[in-house]
Amino acid sequence: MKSATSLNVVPEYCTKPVVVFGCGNILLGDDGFGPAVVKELHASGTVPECAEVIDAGTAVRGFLFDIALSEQRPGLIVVLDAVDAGRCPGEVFEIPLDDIPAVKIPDYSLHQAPTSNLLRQLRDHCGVDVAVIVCQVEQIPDEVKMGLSPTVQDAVTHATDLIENRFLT
Amino acid sequence: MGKTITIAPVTRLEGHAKVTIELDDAGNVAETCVNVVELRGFEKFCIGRPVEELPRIVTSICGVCPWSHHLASAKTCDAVFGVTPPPAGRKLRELCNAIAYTEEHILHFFFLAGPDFIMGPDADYTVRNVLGVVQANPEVGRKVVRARHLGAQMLGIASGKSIHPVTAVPGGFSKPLTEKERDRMKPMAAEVLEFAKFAIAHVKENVFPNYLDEIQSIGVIETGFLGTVADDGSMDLYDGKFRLMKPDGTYEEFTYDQYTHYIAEHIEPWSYLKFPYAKKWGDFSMDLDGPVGIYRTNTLARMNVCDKISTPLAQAELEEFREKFGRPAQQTLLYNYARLIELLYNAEIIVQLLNDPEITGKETRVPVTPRAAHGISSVEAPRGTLIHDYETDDQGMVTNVNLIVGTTHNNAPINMSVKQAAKSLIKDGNYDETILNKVEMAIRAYDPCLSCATHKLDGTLPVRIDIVNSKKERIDTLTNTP
Repeated sequence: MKSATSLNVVPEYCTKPVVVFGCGNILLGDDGFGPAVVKELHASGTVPECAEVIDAGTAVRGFLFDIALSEQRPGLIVVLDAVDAGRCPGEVFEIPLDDIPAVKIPDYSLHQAPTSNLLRQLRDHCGVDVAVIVCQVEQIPDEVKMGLSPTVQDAVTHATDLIENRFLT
Repeated sequence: MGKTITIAPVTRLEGHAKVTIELDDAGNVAETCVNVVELRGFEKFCIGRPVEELPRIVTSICGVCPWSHHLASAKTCDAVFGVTPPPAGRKLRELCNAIAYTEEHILHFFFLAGPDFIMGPDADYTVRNVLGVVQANPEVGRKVVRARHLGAQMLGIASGKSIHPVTAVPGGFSKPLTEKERDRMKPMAAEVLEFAKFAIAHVKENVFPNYLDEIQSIGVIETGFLGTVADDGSMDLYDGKFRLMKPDGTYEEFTYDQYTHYIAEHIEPWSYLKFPYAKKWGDFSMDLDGPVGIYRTNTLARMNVCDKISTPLAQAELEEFREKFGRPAQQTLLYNYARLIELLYNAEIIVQLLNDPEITGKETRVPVTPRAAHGISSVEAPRGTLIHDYETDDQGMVTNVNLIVGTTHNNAPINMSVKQAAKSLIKDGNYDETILNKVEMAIRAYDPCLSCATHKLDGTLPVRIDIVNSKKERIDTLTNTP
């Protein structure tokens, strides 16, 4: 029986210089922004060989965990997510990690958004650059409702262009 | 005047578990509430859709445990259509279930709960995390990530994709496993089993003995338990019958479609999430001194309700566990110990199934025909008993859906455990971050599913603790932002 020890078990995304994670729950309206951008990136056919674009849904922590512990890591990860930061709905902007304080965040579940601390640790201790690109939501519904609001839907194209031009060329 | 402590990030929406601790005038805990948001409106969303779409749709409920919903839904569709998958189809579902379990249990223990034990609950949050664990023991870190990678590879081979699964279908499994694929998986499965053996041995020897006091004290409550067992009473995470056990260890068994005869849902005005309880035990009460109707699901429950485990190594661990803690064991932090026993069990099941000649059978599904029907089924998800309940019209379109997820079953116990932890740790108005960490530990042990939580990255929003008096007037604010 072939030994597993000879197997290369590093996930493919860990071997790519650039990994883009689209985060969000597609069942909750504008929270599906991240996966929508990923879908458009895949459809565009412009993702180069050196990059991996992943719809992480609500499970991004597992990916980040694997990257943190892996012997091989991407050089850059881009986290795409929805946000409510009081800005103009549909606005796409970057949250610099250094602007986010290192704070205690209740850490109950694997389902939660990646903590800013984890992202800082990836950058500071694992040598992985991190970019967080977010879109200001119009509204997150209280009940299941698929589909983005018109303003956020328009933002998907803008975000796709931004990702392609800034991180995938 | 009394004060209220809230443990939560300040967010526009309550997209995370929010803990509120109310102190009386003497500074002791008067009341606590844990608000775990549920996914509202999903049932309404499904109505009018072809029922065979549901196994694919439900994977979006939870990206962490998609396989559990996927399989529960496929099984429920089997019930709706009145079909039984062929042996290869059933065993492939079981195989994927077991592989997904190993990935999730490894992730939960070493990423989320483990740092509490490996770094210590009193360690600063800046090191009490997975990187702190790796720095403390790099070899463990390497083994952990390798075992997870092997699991992801096996899932990819068996099902085509390890995330967003689509291969469990009504009537079976969409693709057979070839002998070549099976042979590729065998050494991977053997290595995952070796890791599972290492993990439980390492933690039993080096970690848990340091926290016996915490295990005996934090979040300890007295409840019943619900889990699934096979006909011979052994643990079965894929299929079987429900066993509902009282705190005294006596139990009743019933089939999936009888669950509404045993389980009712209580409503509290302060929570959208309902509180399932065992209705035959009396009226619902979360009183710590005299709980009524309260039961728990998830790893500790499964360890308690089963008579035995069918795989030899996990069975030996169960015997040791029972010798130390009895049956049923009530200590909430033992969920983490039980999680490691389940990790071992699933690793053995993977090896067992890959050595089963039926796993490569060519016939993996049977045809289905739409009909008006009512189907109920269940799997044991890592986070607890998962029940799917569908009704269809004669065209096979969904007319009604009800889901009870593991975290919902544990809603009352989570609240009780937090209250117990808070009461024992916060006295005379004295509390600090260390104590609040331990309250969080009680919740983490249950591994709650917060899939409904939106995942907007509110990294700019700090933790803020508002202290309010009995008139709900904010009298102080604690924040750890600079």
